Amino acid sequence: MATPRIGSEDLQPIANIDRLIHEPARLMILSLLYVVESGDFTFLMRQTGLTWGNLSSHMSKLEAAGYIEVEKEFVDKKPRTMLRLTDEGRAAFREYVQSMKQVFDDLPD
Amino acid sequence: MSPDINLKEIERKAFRSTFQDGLWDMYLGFLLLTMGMGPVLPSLDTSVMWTLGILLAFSVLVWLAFWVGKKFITTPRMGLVKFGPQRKAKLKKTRAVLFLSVLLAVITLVLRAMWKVEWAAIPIPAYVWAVQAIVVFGLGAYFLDVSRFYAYGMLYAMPLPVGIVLLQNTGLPGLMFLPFGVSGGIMVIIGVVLFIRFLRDYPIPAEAVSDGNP
Repeated sequence: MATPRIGSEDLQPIANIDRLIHEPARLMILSLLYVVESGDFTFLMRQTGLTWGNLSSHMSKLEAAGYIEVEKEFVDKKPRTMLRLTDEGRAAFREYVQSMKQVFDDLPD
Repeated sequence: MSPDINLKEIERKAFRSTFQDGLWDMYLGFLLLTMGMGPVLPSLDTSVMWTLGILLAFSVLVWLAFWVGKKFITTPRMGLVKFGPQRKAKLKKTRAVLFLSVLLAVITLVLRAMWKVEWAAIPIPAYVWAVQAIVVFGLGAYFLDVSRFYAYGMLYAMPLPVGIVLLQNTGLPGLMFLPFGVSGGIMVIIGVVLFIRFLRDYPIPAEAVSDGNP
């Protein structure tokens, strides 16, 4: 008797996981931006514990994917960069959460 | 440690972190110390207008110190954040409660000034003050999610009734400052401890990010 094989459709949710979001540092950034309206670079650095270089590099990737947008504003004639999640980024984050739930639903003990 | 990502908790912690610099504690403490001068100044032959002027000047000074501290010391170290609509709605409610509280305090002060009633002769407003402090700080603590403000409600509630009891028993108006000094002092000390801890935990960021820019 042939051993029953796992169909590709069973593992499909894993294949569908957004790799850009799945990286822990980027997941931290997106989680934080999901719950606030916007935050500046220093705030994100403090809250995530990432270094300046690390955060900057992940920010660029998320911005290139259209998940976050960078707003330049002037506070007391000084430029301030505020970062916020785009609608696309918000939807992608929700979808990621749903995919992860789907993957681990009914996890056997 | 729970492996779950609790987004509500992340938001809550991010919001509460804005109250961990000790500036609110110091501000509220110094404000109470300023209020403590209210019953004492008339005993130094200061007119009602001068008393109100001095109190107002000190209140403005304390507010300015708070504002400067936030703007130039803590925000550059911590970064700037704008919270979502739910949190903004809670902040609006807190502001409305504070506004009503200040309005009530001003009306009480004006009425007192108009009637020229001695503090010892008006025990009821002392209880009104106490209840108001507990309600205002309780609502503030609830809306802002800062539990130590419940205790501050008690610290704000006690000085006036205790001061009046001291005045009635000793006849020394100067003693009225004592309970204000103790309560305000406790808040200032808590604020200073939090502020020192904040400065230690949040050193000035590197030049590249000091203005919040990548």
